[in-house]
This record gives sequence, structure tokens and C-alpha cells, in this order.
Amino acid sequence: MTFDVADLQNSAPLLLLTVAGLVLMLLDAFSRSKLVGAPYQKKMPAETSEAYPLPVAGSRGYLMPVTVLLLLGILAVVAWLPGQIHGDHGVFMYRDMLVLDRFGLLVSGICIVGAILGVMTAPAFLRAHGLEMGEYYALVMFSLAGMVILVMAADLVTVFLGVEIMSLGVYVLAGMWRKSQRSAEAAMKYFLVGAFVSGLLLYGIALVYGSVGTTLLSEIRSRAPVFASRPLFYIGWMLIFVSFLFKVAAVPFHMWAPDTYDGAPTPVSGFMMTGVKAAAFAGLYRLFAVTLGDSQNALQAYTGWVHAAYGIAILTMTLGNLAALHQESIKRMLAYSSIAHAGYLLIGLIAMAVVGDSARGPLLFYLAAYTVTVVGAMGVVGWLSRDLRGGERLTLDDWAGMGQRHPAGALAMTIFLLSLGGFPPTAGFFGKFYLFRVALEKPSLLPLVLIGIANSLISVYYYLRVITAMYFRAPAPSSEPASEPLSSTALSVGVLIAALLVLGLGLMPEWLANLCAAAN
Amino acid sequence: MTQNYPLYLIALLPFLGAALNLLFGRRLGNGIVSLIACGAVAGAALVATKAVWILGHDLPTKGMLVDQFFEKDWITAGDLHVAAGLMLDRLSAVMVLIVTWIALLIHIYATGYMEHEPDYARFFGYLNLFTGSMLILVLGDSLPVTFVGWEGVGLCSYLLIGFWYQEDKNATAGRKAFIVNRVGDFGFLLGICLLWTLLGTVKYAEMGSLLNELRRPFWMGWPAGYWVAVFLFIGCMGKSAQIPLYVWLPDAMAGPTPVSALIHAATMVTAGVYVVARTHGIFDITPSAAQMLVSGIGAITALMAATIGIVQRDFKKVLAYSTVSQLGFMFVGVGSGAYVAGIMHLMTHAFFKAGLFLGAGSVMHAMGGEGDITKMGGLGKHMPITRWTFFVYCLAIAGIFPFAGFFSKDAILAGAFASKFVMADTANPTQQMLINLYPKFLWGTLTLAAFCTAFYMWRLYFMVFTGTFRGTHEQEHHLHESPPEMTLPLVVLAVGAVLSGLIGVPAVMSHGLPESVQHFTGFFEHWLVPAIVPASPEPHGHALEWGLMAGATIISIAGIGLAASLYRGGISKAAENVKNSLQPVYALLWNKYFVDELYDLVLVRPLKMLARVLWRVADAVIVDGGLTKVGPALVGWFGTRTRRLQNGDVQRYLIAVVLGAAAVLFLSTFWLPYRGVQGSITKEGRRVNLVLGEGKVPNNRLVYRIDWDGDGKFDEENVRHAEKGFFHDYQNAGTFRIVVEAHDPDWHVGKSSADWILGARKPLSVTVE
Repeated sequence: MTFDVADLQNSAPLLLLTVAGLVLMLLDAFSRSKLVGAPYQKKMPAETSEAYPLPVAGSRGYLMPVTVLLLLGILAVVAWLPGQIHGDHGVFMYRDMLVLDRFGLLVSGICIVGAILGVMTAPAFLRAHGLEMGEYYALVMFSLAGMVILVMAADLVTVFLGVEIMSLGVYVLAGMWRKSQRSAEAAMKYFLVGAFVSGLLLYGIALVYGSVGTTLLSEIRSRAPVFASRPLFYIGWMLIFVSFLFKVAAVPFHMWAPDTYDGAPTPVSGFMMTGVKAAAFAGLYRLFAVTLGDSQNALQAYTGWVHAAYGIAILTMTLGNLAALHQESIKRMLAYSSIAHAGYLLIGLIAMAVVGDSARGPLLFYLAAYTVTVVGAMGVVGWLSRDLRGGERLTLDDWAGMGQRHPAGALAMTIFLLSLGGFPPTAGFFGKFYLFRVALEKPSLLPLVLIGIANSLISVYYYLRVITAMYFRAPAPSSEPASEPLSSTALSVGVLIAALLVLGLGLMPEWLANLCAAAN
Repeated sequence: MTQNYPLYLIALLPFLGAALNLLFGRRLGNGIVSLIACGAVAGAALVATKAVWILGHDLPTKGMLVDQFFEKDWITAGDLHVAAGLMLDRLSAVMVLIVTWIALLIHIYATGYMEHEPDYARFFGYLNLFTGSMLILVLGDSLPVTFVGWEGVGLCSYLLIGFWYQEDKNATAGRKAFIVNRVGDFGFLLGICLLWTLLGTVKYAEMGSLLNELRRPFWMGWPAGYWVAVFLFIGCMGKSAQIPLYVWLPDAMAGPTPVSALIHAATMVTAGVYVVARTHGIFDITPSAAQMLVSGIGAITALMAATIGIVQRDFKKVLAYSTVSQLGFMFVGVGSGAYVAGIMHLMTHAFFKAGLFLGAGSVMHAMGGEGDITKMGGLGKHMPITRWTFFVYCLAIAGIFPFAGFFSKDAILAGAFASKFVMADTANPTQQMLINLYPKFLWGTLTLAAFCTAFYMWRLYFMVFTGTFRGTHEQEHHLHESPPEMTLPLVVLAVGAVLSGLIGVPAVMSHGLPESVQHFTGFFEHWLVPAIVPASPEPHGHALEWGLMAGATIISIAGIGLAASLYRGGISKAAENVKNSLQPVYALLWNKYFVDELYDLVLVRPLKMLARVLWRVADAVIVDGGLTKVGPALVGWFGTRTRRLQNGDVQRYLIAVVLGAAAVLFLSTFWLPYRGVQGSITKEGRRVNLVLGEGKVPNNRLVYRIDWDGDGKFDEENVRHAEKGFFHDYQNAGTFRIVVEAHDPDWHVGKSSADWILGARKPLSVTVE
């Protein structure tokens, strides 16, 4: 087995992420190993009271800057690599298992930027809740490596590999809040359903391989017109489709999502809502929009996936939004809102197949805008909702009057919520604007766009509800102590950067829009 | 010839001052706030003066200083690419000097006038913001940039009129100003858009060469240029308080007096005059309907406002109507082609009207806020500086030689008298005669207005400063001259009111004088003509010109004399008698021709009624009663259903995944046969062609059975799909129902066009003859 040495260079982001993860694990292992026998924080009455060793508070503080620096370096490599791609087609690596192209690099970039902002907002939260352990950083790195494999995959085997590496890291991250039953529940549910869906994915891949005789996506693409009518091939693809819909939390494969996003530690939820979703959409794009769908030779006409996606997009947007309407917990509301956003993104995927390549830019822009917004929003949620007793204060009542108590955080939250609702001048507005505009190029997508617009109108209600609670409601008189916002420079800086990005993209969307449109 | 110059500094300094004072002013203390505010404006004034010096000294007459921010990419929307930048030519130079230096004087005055104001920093922040916006307005190199400043000054005007917003009356006045201006701004915006569509540019420097485009007929038989001019003029009507949009200006006196002086007398309200002069190429286009409109509106406004001013009792109201009237004079100037006269009156008016307002402020300061002139009297001995400066301003506005108003007002009267309006050749003799009489009408109206002006100004002067005090003892005890920071601007403006007219001495006066003096006398005209605006029309013959001047002076002196006879030493019996004998006229004027009542009846009430109907019916019944009940009920119903599904049970989640996967598979396989039974029918005699699958079904993919005559028996079986479709030759005439069944052999799923779920979208049937 041989490979080209140039492959090492072309897969540098992936290799560097893996190495960085290992380095972080080693750093953690060689950090001051003295552990305190009992948690230094009081526990929620309902939580387990068993004492277990914890690192001394702050002893892992340096890991965050190191991680951020490593990620920035890798981001620089990602930014540098497009210069190495010559011509329109990507560079294939490792015997066509991976492909280096601008699309993959851009999505990797989005995931990494999201991870950087997430990592900046995490340590204060982790410290406050007694979770400050080095594994967090290493697992984020490994999970990111999985995402990069997935977005660069050129073969069904690497697709599976990417999905699994990405998911394994996230399973653990979701359950790392060991004191919290809900975190355990989140991880367990995600793992159980995820394992089941991994089975579906593998089964689908096997069926496709069985009918076509290859797992290379480019080969499958050229043979698909012949094989598309074969039930085995078709069922295989539909199983793959379903497993990806599960990863992006589309209805009706979304049911794990509210429990998991709600129960996982807040920075992890942000990471799952953005990185995992972005990578999964990149996978959907590679497998369906590119391999199966091609508006030029009407290849997608052979398979009905577009029609299935059409219905699922409608269901996802509508159910996600309706369910979010009634949530009292801000974090759970954001979880449902994340489901609704998967529905909007599916419009982009459908537009890829129906309208053509011009839909790629809007899809990517939406992913980018959504990523910075949600990471920022979850950062603020972790920031403002800290409870002195170690829990989180997440209901609207808890957040009433936040504009008075913590004007900076409330302002940032307002910006993120407006962006999620699609108000100008925020990134979210242009995300929706570009997406709906490109979808309107084909009349057959008009109903989808109309439903999308109606849904974003509905969503405005529950986003504004938080804003009105923060600014126009007095805090409910209660005997319980109010939430005690975290104080951390890194956290504020991370949220500030995210807010500036959201506003910046809303005021000057064109450079990113051009970058996205050029990411073939 | 153009030269780059950092013109942005002129506007930036006041904006910086505004930002500092508005953001941090509360913590800074009044001393530092006034230092920042005055310093910013002084800096702007110095930079502006330097720029004008360069312009006048180093550049040829047509030269300008430019400062480009955006080349073609300030506003980019589709085909619209608007550049943005600032420019300083000889016209904007006049405006910039007026705005910066008078703003500086008024800022200094305000430090004294507002010293007890708790919101000191907010006031100066707004004032600086206004100055910056006004500078953007006059320095903009294209209509959109001017419009930015235009809206900026409108906003500041609103903020400052309602500065003491705690009192409802003031806030209402602010809203009125804003709303009336909105009407005008809409016209202005339409003008800009129309100009863009016609010319493809909105930059002043590029317009000149394209004006021929505007001559072609556009709408209702008028040339395009006329409509652009009308729309732009609607904007000017609003901003410069002309009929019918002048109603906001008298109410705007609710703001602090320095604001009235700066915004509602000297600078902002003259923006309309400036814009007309700036875009004179559009207004000049023959036939001169646009000019006739502008000058006609100006003349009528001048007379109407002046007559209202005669009977008003509020010090600032008199001055407000005086401003409206004087703006009418300026519009007659720029509307009858006498651009130099209009702009010059703008300048001289800025001096004496700002001074009058500041004098009013000084008096009201001493009177403890009292503004009713019937309660004043004999103030001259208590406040000599205010009195004598006021005396100078009154001479200037009445147009007495050699004060500033004499030259500028006389130039306007002469220009109006000598103007020529050209209309279409098709005009019949009567029309032609009316058009020829139009200049005389303008002149006559203005002369009458000038008489009223002299009368009401001197009535004001005599009632306030001479005679005996008519107010309370407490007020009398409190009377005092204002502090130096208030009297200094009064003196400076008085000097301006005396001297500023001298730069525009008409040529006829210097006839026979030495060459060097002759050169100096026409300075203002040489400055603007011919590079910036065309030369003003001048009466033929020196005798006529001298005659006009003499007439105007006599009229003014008559006005002053009448005022003196009635009001010198207090309100005389004679004045009361005149008032009583002309009761109906007095009532009409006192109630300002009932214009506000007319607006109320025609616009405000119907709109309020409509709003009430919408509130009671649309909002209260339909929305609150219906929609807000149905919506939540639906959502609630849905919410409970979805919540029941989401019960936290993992097994259930897995079942959902499996069922979902099955549904995806099942539904997405049915679409091909469904597509396959959609057909389109064409006829060639008795042969009927049936194309199936809408071009989306691959060849040979589906197997069909077709029943051509709807008798339930299939006429063709096991035919493979073909792109060109199927055909059938009918033996008999009649209408036949066609039933198609598509079958997918790979999937073993089939569909009939007769199915009522997922069948043919439109029934397949055919009629053959």
C-alpha cells in the first residue's frame, strides 16, 4: 500500500487536529495531578452526592489558550490550502479515499471557527460546574478530526469513518457532566439512537456496495443512472439518507435532539448544534447533491430523495418551530430552534439538486451564519444562567430583567436571537435571504419557500419572547438566589467576537457570500 | 479643475463633538461640554475657511475641492451604483462659511442661554450633530449625499424642537415638524429617483452635460425636467417652510431659542433655497413652468406670512412668520433666475435673522421666559446692547440703505421685476399676456410683503424696547442685560448685518466710480457668476433700476413710519382703533388664515377616523377577537400532540426512526409511477398523441396499460415508456376518457391516472370530431 507524499500536505488539517488532540491529552496527563477528594462546590439537592476526585480548580486553565492557539494554527493551514488546489476539481488523496477541495475546506473552516469560539466560552462554564478536565479539549479535537474526514470524504468508507469518529467524541462530551443526571441521560439517549442509526448507515453502505460493486463516490456517480432503478441500490441510499437526517436532527429523526442538546453541558450543546450539523450537511451535500443529484443530466430524476427531502424539510421547519413556541427553558427552546434551522438548511440541499450549483453559496453562507450565531448564543446561555448552587437557571422567569442585571450579556443574546430570527442587519438575515432567493429560481420550490417564510415568522415569536423577558419584565420575586453570571475574560471575548461576526456578516455579507459561492 | 482636500474634516469635527457629548457629556461637567461643542465647531469653521481660501485663491472660478469616499460603490443595488463624496465649489463655499461661523456664534451664545439647563450635554450634542449634518448637506457632491444631510438636519430639528419633551406641547411641535417634513422628503426622494432613471447620475458635477435628456416629454405633456423640479421642490417646500408645508415652522418655536436661531432661521430652513440653486440646471429648463411655480409659491408665501406676522403677539412667532416670509423672498429670487440675489439674501438673512432670534432670546432670558410682547415695553433702558443690536437688525430686515437687507432684497425685487418666463409657443394671446405680467405680479406681491415686513418688525421693536413696561413688578425687578457670552454674538451679528450687504452692491451704484471700487462692488456676483449659476436678470436702464430702489426704500420707510405712529411709546389708541375697525381682517390674520384648522379638517380628522376604524374593527375585533384566539388554540393543540410524542422514552425514539425510514422509502418510490401517469394530449385530426411522464421518466423504465376510450378494457398492454409518447387513431367522433396505468417492474408499484389519490392532476380526456 503506497501513497503520495503530497497527501500528507493536503490532509494537513486532519493530521494536525489528531496530533493536537494527542498533545492536549498528554498535557492534561502531565499537569499537576493532585486531585481534591471532594467537589468544592455544593451540589443540587437532586444530584448525586457521591464525592469523586476532581482536579484543583484552575490547574487546567492553560489548556484553553493552548487549544485556541492550535486551532488558529490549523485554521491558518485550512486558509492556506485552497492555494494548493489547481483547477476546478479537487485533489484526491490516499487512493481516492479523501478529496481536498474548496468546499471541504470551507466547511472545515466553519467547524473550526465554531469550535474556537466554543472553546473560548467553555472553560469558565466547566470550572464553575466542576468539569474542568483536559479530556474536553482533546475530545473536541478528535471530534473535529472526524468532521474533517466527513467533509473531505470521497468514499463511503471514509464517510462512515468520519461519522463515527465525530460521533464518538460527542457521545462522551455530552455525558461529561457526571454529576448531572440529565447529562448522563443526554449522552445515553444520543448514544443508543446514534448506534442504531450507525447500523442503518452501515447497512445502507453495504447495500449500495452490493449493488454497484464500489464504494467510491465518483464511481457510484457515473454508474448511478444504470443502477438507480435497482431496489437494493435505492434502499441503500435511503438508509444512508435517514442516518444523515438523524445527525442533522430532522423530523422525524429528531427526537433525541431536545433531550440531548438540553441535557449536555452548554458549551458541548453549542458544539453539537453547529459543528456536527455543519459536517453532516456537508456529508449530505457530497452524497446526495453531488453523487445522486445533478440538475444538468437529470440524474436526480431517477431517485426520489428530493421528494422525500421536500416533505421532511416542511415537517422539520414546522414541527421544530411549533415545539419551540411553548418552551419555558431557553436552552430547550434553542434546541428546538436548532431543529427548525435544519429544516431551512434542507431547503438549501433541495435547491442544490433542483436549481443547481448556484445554491451552494447560500447553503454554505447559512451554515456559517448559523454556526457563529448559535455558538455565541450558547456561550451567553452558559454565561448568564450559572446558578451559585452549581446548576443552571434557564427559564424565562430566571432571565427576566437580565437587561438590567447584565446589560452586556443581554445585548449579545439579543443580537444572536435576532440573527436566529432573521432580522437585518445580522448574519441570519442574509443567510435566509440568500437561501430563499436562490430557491425561488425554480417555481417548484415556491411552496417550500413560502412555508419557510411563514415558519421564520412563527419563530420570531419565541425569539422575541426571550428579548422581552430580558428587557421588559421585572425579575419575579423569589426566595431563591438569582443566577450569578460567570466572570471570565475569555468567555466575554468569545461572545464579543461571535457578536461582531454576526453583525459584521449582516453589514458586509458579500465577502463571505463570494467565498461560499466560489467553494466548488 | 479639481483638487483633493480633506473636506471630511469639516463635517467630522462636529460629529465627533456630538459623539463625545452625547456619550460621555453627563459625566464631563458643563465647562468641558461647552469647550468640546464650541471647539468642534470652531475647528470646522477654521478648516472650512482655509478650504474656501484655497478655493478662491488657488483655483480658477470653475474649480472645486473634492473629497471622494466611495467611487461608485457607496450604494450598490442592481444597476444602481452611487458614488459618494464631498465637494466645495463657490456655491457651497458661501453656505459652508455661513453655517460654520454662525453656528459657532450661536454655540457660544447658547453656553450662556442654557447655563441652568440640567440636560446641558444633550443639548450641545444635538446642536453639534445638527451642524455636522448641515455641513454634509451643503458639501455633498450628489443628491443622495445631500439627502443624507437633509434627513440628518430633519432629525436634529425634531430632537431639538422637542428638547423639553417633558411638556406635551413641545413634543407635539417636534412631531408636527417631523411629519410635515416627511411629506416633503418623500417628494425629494421621488425627485432623486426620477433623476436617476432619466440621467443615470445624481452627481451635481455630471448632471450639467446631460440636461438635454430632461427636455423630452415625460408625463401629461410636460418635460421630464419639470417633474424632477416639482418633486425636488416639494422637498424644499417642506424643509424651507413654503405654502402649503410651512405650518410646522411657527410651532417649531417651542424649541430653545438658540435652536430657533440656528436651525429655524439661519441654516436648515434655507436648505431648500440652496438645493434649488444647486440644481438650477433642472429648474432653468424652458418652458419655465418650474420657475413660475417656485417663484409664485415664494411670492404668495412671502406676502401671506408677512400679513400674519403683523398681528402676532408672541415674540418668537412674529420672527417665525418673518422667516417664512423671507424664505419666500429667497424662492422668488432663485425661481425667477436671480440666483445670485436669492443666495445673497440667504446670507444676509442668516446674519440679521439669527441676530433677531438671539435678541429675542436675550429679552426672554431677562423676562424669565415670558414671550408675549404685549407684556413687555421699555426694555431698551435695561438692556442697551440688546436694544441697539436689535435696532440694527430691524433696519437690515426692513431694507434701509446701507444695511445688508437693502442690497439683497433690492436685488430680488429687481430680479423679479426683470425676469422673463418662456412658455410653449402654442399659448394664446391671453395666456401670453398673463405670462408677461407674471414678473410684475411677483414684484408687486413682494413689494407689498416688504411693506408688511417693515411694519411688523418695527411694531415689534417699538412694543418691546420703547414705552413703559407692561409686565409684573417682579419681572421688572428682574430685568437685566444678558451676560457677555450672549451679547458678544449679538454684536458680531450686528456688524455682519451692517456689512454683509456690501459685497453685493449692485453695479449701477458704482457707475462712474474708480475701477478698483467697481471691481469690489460686484464681488458676490463675480464669485458665483458665471461658473456656478447664470447671471441674474437686470432691469434695462439705470433710471428704472434707481427707481426700483427708491420705491422699495420709500415703501420700507412708510412701513416703519406707520409702525412708529401706532406703537412708538407703547400700544397707541390709534392702533386699538384700527384693530377694532378691521375686526374681520384682524381675526383672519390672528387665526393665521385658519390654515391649521383647514389641515385639521381635511387631513387630520379623516386620518384619525380611519385609524379609529382600523383600531376598533381591524384590531379589536378581527385581530384581538379572532386571530389571537385561533392561533394559540391551534398551536396549543399541536403543542400537546407533539409533547405527547416527545416523552423521553428512547424506545419510542427508535420506533420513530424506523417508521420515518419506512415512510421515506415508501413515499419516495411512488413518485415515479405518479409522474408516469401525468400526460399531455395533442391532436392531429383523428390521431391523438399522448406524452406521459412530463419528461422526467427515463425511457423503458415504466410499463403502461392504456385504455383509450374509457370503456374499462385496456386497448394496449405492456407497452414500454417512450419519450415521444403514444398515439391512437379514433374511428368515431366523440369525447373519450383516457385511463393510463403505469407500472414500475423493478419496484412492483403501479399507479392509475384514475386514482383519486396521487392520480392524474388533470383528468385525461379528448374530444375528436
